[in-house]
Parts: sequence; structure tokens; C-alpha cells
Amino acid sequence: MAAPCAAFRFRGTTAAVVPAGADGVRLDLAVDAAFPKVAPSQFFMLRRSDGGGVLLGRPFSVYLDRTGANGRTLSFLLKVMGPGTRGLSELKVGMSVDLVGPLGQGFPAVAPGERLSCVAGGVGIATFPLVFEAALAAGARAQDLTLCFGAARKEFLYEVDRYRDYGIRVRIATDDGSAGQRGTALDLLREDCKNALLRPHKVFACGPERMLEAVVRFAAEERLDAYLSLETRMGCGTGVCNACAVPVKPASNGGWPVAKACREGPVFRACDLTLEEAHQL
Amino acid sequence: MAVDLSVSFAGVQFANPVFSASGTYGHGLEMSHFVSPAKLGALVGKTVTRRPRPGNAPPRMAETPSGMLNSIGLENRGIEHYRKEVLPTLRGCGTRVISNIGAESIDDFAFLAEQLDSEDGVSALEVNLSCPNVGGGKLPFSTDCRNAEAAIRAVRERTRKPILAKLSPNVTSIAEIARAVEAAGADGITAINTLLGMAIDWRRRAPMLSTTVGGLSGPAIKPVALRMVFEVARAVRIPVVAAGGVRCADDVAEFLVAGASAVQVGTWNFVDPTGIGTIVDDLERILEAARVASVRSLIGSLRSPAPVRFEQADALVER
Repeated sequence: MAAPCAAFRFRGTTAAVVPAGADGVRLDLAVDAAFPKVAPSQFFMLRRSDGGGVLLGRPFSVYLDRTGANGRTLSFLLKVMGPGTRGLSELKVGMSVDLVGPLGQGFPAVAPGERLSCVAGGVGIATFPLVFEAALAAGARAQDLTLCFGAARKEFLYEVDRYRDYGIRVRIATDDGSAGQRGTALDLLREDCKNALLRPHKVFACGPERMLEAVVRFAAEERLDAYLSLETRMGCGTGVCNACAVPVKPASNGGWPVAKACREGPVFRACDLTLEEAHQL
Repeated sequence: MAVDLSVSFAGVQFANPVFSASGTYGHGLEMSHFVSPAKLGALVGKTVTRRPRPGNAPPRMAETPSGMLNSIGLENRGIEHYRKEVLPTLRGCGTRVISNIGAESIDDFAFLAEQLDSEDGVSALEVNLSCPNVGGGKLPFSTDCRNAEAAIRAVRERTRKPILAKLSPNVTSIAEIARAVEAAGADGITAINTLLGMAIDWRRRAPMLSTTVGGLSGPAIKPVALRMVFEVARAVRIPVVAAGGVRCADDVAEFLVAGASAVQVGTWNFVDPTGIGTIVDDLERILEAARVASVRSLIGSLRSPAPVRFEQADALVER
């Protein structure tokens, strides 16, 4: 049977709501929580303590996890998509938010000497700051880490300036050419793969489903070891509602053809996903 | 003054009347890190079927005003896995375990009842006659008195354990179905399962669920559930276990007053995984504040509204 969900439920206080890009915010929550540093791509269910007009919490991967003089702050990057994200984006400083987490399995560790390419589409970037921080902390060289960040237009390159500070390779593409080169994040990865000195050992991807489908196909063609952080509709985040079903190869999942994005994911190895179902991701 | 929260029915004693609802709390100890199982009156498991079922295609869930639609399709690994891998982990968990069984044939209901009859750790069976997300939403066992009766009779013949029949609200008269399962030997009735519903993304001209329709749950359905629990409690002699939109201790008390002997918490477990524990604590607190010594005194205690006659009403009608 499924092991107990080992997450915590606690209350956070809105410390800042900072506009990000054309349609997003960075939500900084002051928390008094003693769990270890969050793994890259682990997530929390967030719900305004006053409900904010919706019933269920919404899942967001942790964008930043900082401990400073004022205590611990968890930050989340969110794009306003519907009533749930709108309510969270309209929080005022001091208002409280209920959190459940940390939840899910994150990206695998990156060994020193391994080249890693992160393919981010739009708000999918939210999962990557912790990836770079964990890799650098584990001894990876900054020049071995590449961010391929793509968006429709430059105003959807949320907080793009943050990544140069890590010293990593930052490559930008937009569909309309308004920033970086014209094209997609996957185009940038494709170019790197043609150069033996840049071809990554591992690829991490997060973004819209069309981009992820393309990454799955490209990874299969190129025999790249790729991992995707998936976004699905979730009811509970804790593994009991069975809403966040992801079709997977049974051999990768204890003989069962359905994985839960909240428990076995949100990160899945590209080759474990059932390809003919990939369009439903 | 300490409040006595214990309830007893179908020959089973429960520490309190707050149970988890099937399909919202896992099969076993999945939620035990948030709330100790010993805190619950009973742990009601997710539906188990004879054979493994992978469930329906995604998307399986959509939020709607004050509620949610689901179409999970009874995803579970089957009775053999449940007996071997799940039930042993529940031994000594500190609360009553109620196993929920589901099937698409009378034979399978009978088979499941027989399989669980010898499981000492199981206090009762809840028979899911009413999942709207299998068999194309036709609800064969909960919309027809003869079928409901046949299913419960088959389970009755194969087990000595108490049986709760979980009924669907998607019927003209839930009281009729309740009387049929009582006659077939059910020891209690769980009411209600989800209401059939639908949500549409009009821009994509597409349903929000892969199965087009699904089951509505959450606070949106609480008034419907209260009404149906009230109707069932008046129609039968066996106890009623309520389910439908419970999110706080006041909701539990309302269902008890309407006639329920215990109350299940479902969708709220998704909103707050610690909520069911809070509800038990709050129930004790609000009853103490209201000077209610025993939760049992609330069961079916609804008073009829006093009759009011409008002045000169007859004269108005006659004119």
C-alpha cells in the first residue's frame, strides 16, 4: 500500500506580492516551518486561509526557499490563469495562506562533471532556481549548467535576470523574437546537442504541454536522459483523490499503468511516460 | 463536563461519529501522518473491486462553485492486493476499519463479501451501489429497487459482518431504495454518494472531464444530502451514516439532528488533510458549549417547525 504522505500543513503569512512578467506574480510567504530544504520541483498546495473564492488548494512548485534574518521565506511564481491563481495574486501583505507540503518527488541529483540543460517554457521556469542552486551546492561547475528559456514574447520571460547571477549559461528564445533568438526553448537545446562539448548528459524540462510533448519526442530521437516536471489538475496533492493520473509504463511504476503526479511525480523520466498518451499530459 | 462522543450501531461501537468518506482518504494509512487514525470514529476505505481497475482517462477532476466534479473510475489494485498489502497495515491502527466494496455484477459483490468475511480487522462492509463513474453513469444498483435489493441480498448471504448500503442521490425517491436495501438485510445506509454533474470549457467546446459527466461533491451538495438523510432516516429503522459536503463540526451536528448516527467527511480532506481531526475536536467543544452531554442525544432530534397561519389567508384564497 501507499506509504503515508509525509508532508506538513501549516500557515504562512504574505510577505510580498511582486509583479512578474505580464501576467504573473512572485508570492513570498513567511513560514515558520522546520522541514529540511525543499528539493527541486517539490511543490506545495496553496490556499488562501479565507478561501479566496475557491474550494481546493492549487499546486505550485517552490521557486525560492530562503532563510534570512527574518526567518524562512518560501516563494512561488504564479501565472494568473483562473479564479484560484487570481485569488492568490490578489493577496495583501499580512494575509495568511494555508500550505500543505513539501509534496512529490523532485528532479534527480546532478553529479559534478555532468552537463545539465534545463528547458523552461514560460512560467515553467518556476521550478528551476532550486535546480541550479542544488546542483551548484553539490559541486557542479556553472559552465556545465545551461538554461534554455523560451516564451511567446519577452514579457513572459518571468524574472529572467535572476539566472545570470548563478554564472550559468543562459539562452533565451521567444516566438516573436522580442528577446533572444526567434524560436523555442527546444530549438536552443537542439542546437546544443549538435555540439559534442555542449550536448547535455541530463535534460530537465518544465513548461506547456506542447513543449513537453516535443521534448519527449526529441529526447527519444536523440537518446537523451530527460526528466519532465508535469502540471496536472490536482484535488488534494497528498495522494488520496486519484485525480492527477499520469499514464506511465507499468514497469516504471510497480506494475501499475497510472502514476499520481502528486506522489510518484511531478517529475517523471521522459521514457517512462506512455507516448501515445503524451498529448494528454 | 466531558461530552460522550461515542456512538453504537449495527452491533459496533465507535469512539465518535466522525468517519472518513470512501475515496477521499486512501485505502489504508495514507493520511496517518496528518491525523492519527485513532482520532477517527472509523476509517472508511476507498472502493475495492474484484479485479484491478486503472480508472478513467485524465482529466478526472474539475473544481466547480463550492464543490468539485470527479470521474476517477474506481482506480484500485483489486481485492487480492487489498487483503495482502493493505489490510495487514491497518491492524492495531486504533480505529474501526470499514471496507468499501464496488462491483458491476451481483456475482462480484458476493465474491468480495466472501473474501472480506474472514478478515478480523474489518468491522463492517460498505457496499458502493452508487459510483456514477463506472458503467457509463447508469448506476444499475442504486436506481432500481430490485437490483439494489439483489446486490445487498447477495452480500448478506456471504458475510456475517454489518453491511452499510451506500446509496445514490440520483433517484426520484431515495426512501424507496432505502426500504429495499433494508428488506434485503442491510444493517445501515450511507447517504449520499455524489450527484451527477457536468462542467464545460466553452472556448474549447469541450467537457472538463474525460468522461463528460462526473460526480459532484463538496459543500455545494450539503443541503441536498441533509434533505436525503432526513428522508431516509424517516423511511427505515436501520441507522443512517451521512455523507455530503461536511467541512466543520456544525455540519456534523446538523446531520446528526437530521437523523444520522454517524457522519462522513469527504471532499474536505482534499482541502485540509488535517481537517477531520479538527472536526472531532471542535465537535466536542461545540457540544460542551451547548450543554449536550452525549452525541447520541442529537441523533434524529429535529423538531417540527411550529405551524403558522397567515391572518385572513383563507379569505384571500376564497376571493
